[in-house]
Amino acid sequence: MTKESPQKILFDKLKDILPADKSLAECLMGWLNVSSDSVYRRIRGETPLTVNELAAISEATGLTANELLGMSKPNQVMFEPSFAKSVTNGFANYISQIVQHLQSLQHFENKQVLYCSKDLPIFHFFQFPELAAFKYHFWMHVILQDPTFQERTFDGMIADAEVQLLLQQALDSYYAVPAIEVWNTESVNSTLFQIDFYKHSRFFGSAQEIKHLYDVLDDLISHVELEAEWGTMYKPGSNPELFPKNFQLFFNQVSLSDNTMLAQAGNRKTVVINYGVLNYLICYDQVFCNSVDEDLQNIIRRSTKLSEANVKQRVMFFNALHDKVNRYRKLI
Amino acid sequence: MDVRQIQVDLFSQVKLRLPDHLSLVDSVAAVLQISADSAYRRIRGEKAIDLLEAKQLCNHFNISLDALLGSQGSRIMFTSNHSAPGEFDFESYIKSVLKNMEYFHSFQNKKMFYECKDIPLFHQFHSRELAAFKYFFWRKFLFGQPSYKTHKYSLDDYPDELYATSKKIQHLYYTMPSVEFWNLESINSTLRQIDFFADTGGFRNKDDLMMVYESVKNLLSDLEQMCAKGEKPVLLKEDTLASPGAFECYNNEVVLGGNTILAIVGSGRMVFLNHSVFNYAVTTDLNFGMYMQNYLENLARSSTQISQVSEVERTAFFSTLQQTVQQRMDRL
Repeated sequence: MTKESPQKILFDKLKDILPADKSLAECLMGWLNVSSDSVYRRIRGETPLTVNELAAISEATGLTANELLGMSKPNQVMFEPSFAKSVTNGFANYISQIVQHLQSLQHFENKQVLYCSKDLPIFHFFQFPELAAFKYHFWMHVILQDPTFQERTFDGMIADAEVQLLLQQALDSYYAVPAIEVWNTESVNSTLFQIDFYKHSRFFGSAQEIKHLYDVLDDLISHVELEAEWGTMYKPGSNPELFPKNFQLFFNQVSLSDNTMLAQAGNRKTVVINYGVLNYLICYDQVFCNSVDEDLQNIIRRSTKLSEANVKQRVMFFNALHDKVNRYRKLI
Repeated sequence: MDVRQIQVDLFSQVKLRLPDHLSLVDSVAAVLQISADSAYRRIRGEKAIDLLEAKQLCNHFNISLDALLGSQGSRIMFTSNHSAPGEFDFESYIKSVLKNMEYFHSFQNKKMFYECKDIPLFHQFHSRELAAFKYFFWRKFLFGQPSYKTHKYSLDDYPDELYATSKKIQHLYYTMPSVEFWNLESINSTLRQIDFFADTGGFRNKDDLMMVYESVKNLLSDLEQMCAKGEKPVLLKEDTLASPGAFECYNNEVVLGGNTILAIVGSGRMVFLNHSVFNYAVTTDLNFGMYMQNYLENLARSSTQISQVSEVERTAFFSTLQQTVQQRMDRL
């Protein structure tokens, strides 16, 4: 066996990670369930390790096979997928995972979420029950194609109490972490498209119901404008002065974003990539996270700050969003 | 864990990645530098592969050994080539796109799905004027290349060699069956980029600016024709074996696309996920690919097909896009 053989690389790696009081041979005897002689033959390279022995070592050490064999490439990154499924409790589990991720950030002194949004960040909808109900219905009906929603017209409420509670928890958890959001004037478009799609599909009971939804969307936009003005995330109707300065908003005029999120907790970063509307991939690889952070900081540098300062730009930006809602409202 | 099963799975993964004209036995024999007989014995599972051979095959065919062993849990391996702002090499990027397209074309059974947020990359090569503008935008704005700081848009700055490579890519795309999901937003990103440089002195004169707007209009006219025919033209006449690729186009009015690309190649799937505005993470994970295929097929069901059928909707769609560009030209 040459020095560069994968078996040698693997045993060297194991020697590096094992505590000083543990012997490699003893550990291998336990993990592979073989005799001391057999273990030494493997360590000396006289007996080749099989791929299932590699799997057993991987399971015992928590290291991936790629790491054990020195096959990790700098551009290869592992992602954990999260799927919103239409099975029983699938959506509740999905929101519950988001809550857990956000709550896990709260224990850190140095924490932040950077949200480069394509659509309005979903948490803002959860402050307005009618909009939260509309989004929930749309996700269940159109995106997840849940059979129980196929014949159900939109009734303005979320019947599932567990989902209601979880959406509120998600909102509270999001508010507890300082956030930087990067929007553009297209961020409101998908919601307008979706309301329009429901209007044409006759999922609303009356024109009044549609108008009301546009009015609430206006309320949401006005509220985020106030949050940007104060630099604070707070619940509608409450006093912003009682909440911490934890909100920064930027307007990216040039490139449409993609709902990429970067969370920072202490010195650790996590990247969340959105796909297929609701699903996301989570990456903890720090090299990758740092590179995404660099990209997002580059975007922020080229964006206009709308929170606290820049009142003229802020007013113009939110007026543009209200104008879009108005255009759709006139077509009811 | 059954070693033989892992070995069978490994060779199935190798087969998925092999172009139609290459045989599994010859390819395995070449990579492991063994005889065809020895390769056969390994493929049939009569001889166990050792770790070195597993590593060689995984490295050569870009297979995740962890996925085979199940040691990555539910995680999915992606490849992400990241360039720091200021270090981006557009030429290398374009060459990697060409390499991917050539790889797709090595399969008899191939098809691409493109969920547009912006004008798909392949259409950005439609004319030298538009391709040069995108090249200018990427270098000057996205990657802030210092040598481009004072540059203004000029057709002369777009290298001939790069344009020739871009045209090859476009040709390969046009001769591959594809499905595109557009909506009225899909040209906004490009128009915003043109606006940005118009407002910040990025054009030498009005003629150059009008030329770029005109190139977008010409692209839209040609796209409308492709939609009407349901196929894309053969660009490079010297490629006598090439035949037009079937073209399906949908107006997706319910969600904003994310520039997600799914390539069906033989029995395998490649997914390109856009993140942090301009980067891509790529995976060949079959389960993830099948999930995305299912998602995109569902999206087609919620969208309006504007290729081959639905002439009224198609005309209205492209007419609105043309008007959007024309309004900007009229304001100059």
